[in-house]
Amino acid sequence: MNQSQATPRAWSLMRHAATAATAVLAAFAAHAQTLTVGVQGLPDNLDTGFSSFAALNLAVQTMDPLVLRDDAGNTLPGLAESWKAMDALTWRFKLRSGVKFHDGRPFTAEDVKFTLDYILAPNSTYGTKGRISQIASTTVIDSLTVELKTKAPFPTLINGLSDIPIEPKHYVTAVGRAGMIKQPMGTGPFKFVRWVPADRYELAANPDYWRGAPKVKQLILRQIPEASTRAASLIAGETQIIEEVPIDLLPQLEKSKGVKIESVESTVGLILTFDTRKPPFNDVRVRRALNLAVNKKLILDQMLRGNGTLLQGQILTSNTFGYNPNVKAFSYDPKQAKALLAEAGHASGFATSITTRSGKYLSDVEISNAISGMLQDVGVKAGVNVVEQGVYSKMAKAMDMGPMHLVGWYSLGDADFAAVWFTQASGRSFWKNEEFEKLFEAARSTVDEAARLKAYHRMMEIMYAEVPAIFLYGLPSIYGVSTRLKNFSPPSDKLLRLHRAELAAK
Amino acid sequence: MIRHILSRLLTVPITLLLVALVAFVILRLTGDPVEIYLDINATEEQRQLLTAKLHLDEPVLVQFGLFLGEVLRGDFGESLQFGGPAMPVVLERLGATLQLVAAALTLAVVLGVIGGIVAALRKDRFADFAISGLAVAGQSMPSFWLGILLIQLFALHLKWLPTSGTGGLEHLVLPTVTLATFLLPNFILITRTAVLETINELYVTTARAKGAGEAVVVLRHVLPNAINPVLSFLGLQTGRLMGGSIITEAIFAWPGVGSLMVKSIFQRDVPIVIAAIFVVAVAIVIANLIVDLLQSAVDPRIRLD
Repeated sequence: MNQSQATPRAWSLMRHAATAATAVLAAFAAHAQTLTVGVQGLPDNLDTGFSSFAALNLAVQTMDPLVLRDDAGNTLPGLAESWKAMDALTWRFKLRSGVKFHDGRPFTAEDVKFTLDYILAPNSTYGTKGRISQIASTTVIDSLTVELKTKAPFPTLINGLSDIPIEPKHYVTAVGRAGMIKQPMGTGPFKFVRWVPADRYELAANPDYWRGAPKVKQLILRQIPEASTRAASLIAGETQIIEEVPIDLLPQLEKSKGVKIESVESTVGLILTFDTRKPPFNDVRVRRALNLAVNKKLILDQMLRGNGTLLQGQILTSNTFGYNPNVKAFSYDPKQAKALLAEAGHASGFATSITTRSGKYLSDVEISNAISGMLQDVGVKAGVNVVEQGVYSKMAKAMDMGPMHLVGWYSLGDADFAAVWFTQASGRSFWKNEEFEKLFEAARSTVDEAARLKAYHRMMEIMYAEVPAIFLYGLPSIYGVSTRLKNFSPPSDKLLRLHRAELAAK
Repeated sequence: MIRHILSRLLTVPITLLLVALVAFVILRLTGDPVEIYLDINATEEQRQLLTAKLHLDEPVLVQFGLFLGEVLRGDFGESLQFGGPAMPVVLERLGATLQLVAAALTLAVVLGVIGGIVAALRKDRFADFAISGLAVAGQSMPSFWLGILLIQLFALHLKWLPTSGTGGLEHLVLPTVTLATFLLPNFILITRTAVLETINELYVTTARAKGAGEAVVVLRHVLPNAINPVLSFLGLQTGRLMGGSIITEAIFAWPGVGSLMVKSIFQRDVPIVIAAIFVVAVAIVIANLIVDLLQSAVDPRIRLD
């Protein structure tokens, strides 16, 4: 009797021990649980509508938009399963069923209406409001269907919605806006845990995430503003991903063990814009000459170490809707440049200047200096005027940027967002072209994709002929990552997507 | 004594007012917070709302008056970046900076005084050359460069310490050393000079003649008489140390007031900048008061009224 009782107890003990051992082994051997990202800056405020991209990068960890983007920049269904244009002004969105917020409450059409109404309220200063400002009204059709009316045909609506994370109505109503900012909550891959201002943002995996539970248990975003410290933290294994790697640190990272560089073409087109209102740049021959005088390939190879792409005689990067594959980059031809300058009456060259910020874009000052050197070879003496951001924005507002200024325009995947800066409506364009303006308006007022594409292709041709700027590079986004990291690809829009990322054990 | 403290405190508001005026005017004249803060796609209404909220449509001096009125009522205004009152944000960060500054100051004073005494006692001998040489080298080394070198050595090669960030005491070591090196050379050289001046005084010779041991001579007779220049220097350097902490905080991702201030200046976030200036200015004034009191305690010839 005694014996027969003892045996099952021992058996069960053994079984428990085995289970525990397996669990411990699994925890140690299979995967590391915490993924730490070294970011350049964390926002100072967890308000979803806070204006910087860094804030959006945090928001999309805890919240999903209706439309998702992938790392390459393509849109795909998010909280909306599908959508359809009913007519030129009406869009209907079918929402995903069975999606739950972090507190277990279901996501419904009410949450979409609540979020959009909040953002579009007249007194709202929501950061990405401009991306969807053409929405006139949001109507709940049933619990999983929403209808949006737009003020005018709004072809960039779908792209714009991918920057609008959806907030939980019941939660925000209960805890107030301040409560939501203090403790953000949504349907996203990670749950908010803790935020230490200027130091770290801690998140835990959402096991019920509708796209599958994240592979890591914990995600930490650490603010490390100094780039060389960021690189050191990656080499030391304190972080597994670092963003914004400057070019001069690439050699050190490439040499380090357990670290690799991942770079991707962003949608930022870096250009040197002419003030076409004043001589000498009111003459198209001079503008073309300067485009021919810059050896862009050499700068790309030397200063960007081959990261990024050459812009093909247009402001759009090749991953953008509207990119014209038939327009090609200006060749490097100083002889022809000199001839053109002579034809325009500048045989002995002239003095001018380049305005740039420092550290705004990858190697911005170095690139400006290199261009200045190359222009010298065709007789153009261009001084480089480095200004601080505050001064730059004042100059921009006053439309007084000097003869040439270095600027990068985001297209976010759609020509509309980049081309707008060459229209009079933007208040930023020195260059003026009737046909360009008309095409821009036409492309923005139809939801017919083929017609839009045709308009943008023609607009890129016009810019190539009129050269309002020296077209330089599609800037890369450069990340340093640990070789232990699997299923990570660098995002072209700088929004980290980490729900599939896996970290192998050391 | 009390009168001295009161008169010192009375100059504080005037200093603060001048500092605030200069900071405010410079920040307003060199950049438009609306342009910096709002997204490039922001609508015209968004711009107008923010302009009105910040009174940017008024002349700069009127803006300053409005701002000052609020400050007098204890309200430093709402920070643009943080979307809340400015002062609590600054105070929240103050702890990290004080921790760093206090650790660095202690290290610099202790090592500086010891190094200075040793160098003076061994004047023109190897120890003096070594210490004074290191001091000069340290003084000419930019904090920025030193910080990065320390990270390379101690975090990457030896793997003894973390590269950056906060956490345990081990996170404090590298930033403290970097910041202390910024001040240490001055402390060494000033202590050395002060000790050299004292060491030939008659009372030191007398003490020696009476047969006092070297330790007693140095600690009882030389140091108290040599320490005053070091103390005045300490008071003067608090401000410099706060400045130095800006760079150190940036290198080591230390979440203190320094990094907050730099970022806020770039964002033209006037309420934060001015709240931070107030806090730093008050800290400097308090530090100098303490130094005054210490000096009069060490040297009875110094009377504070």
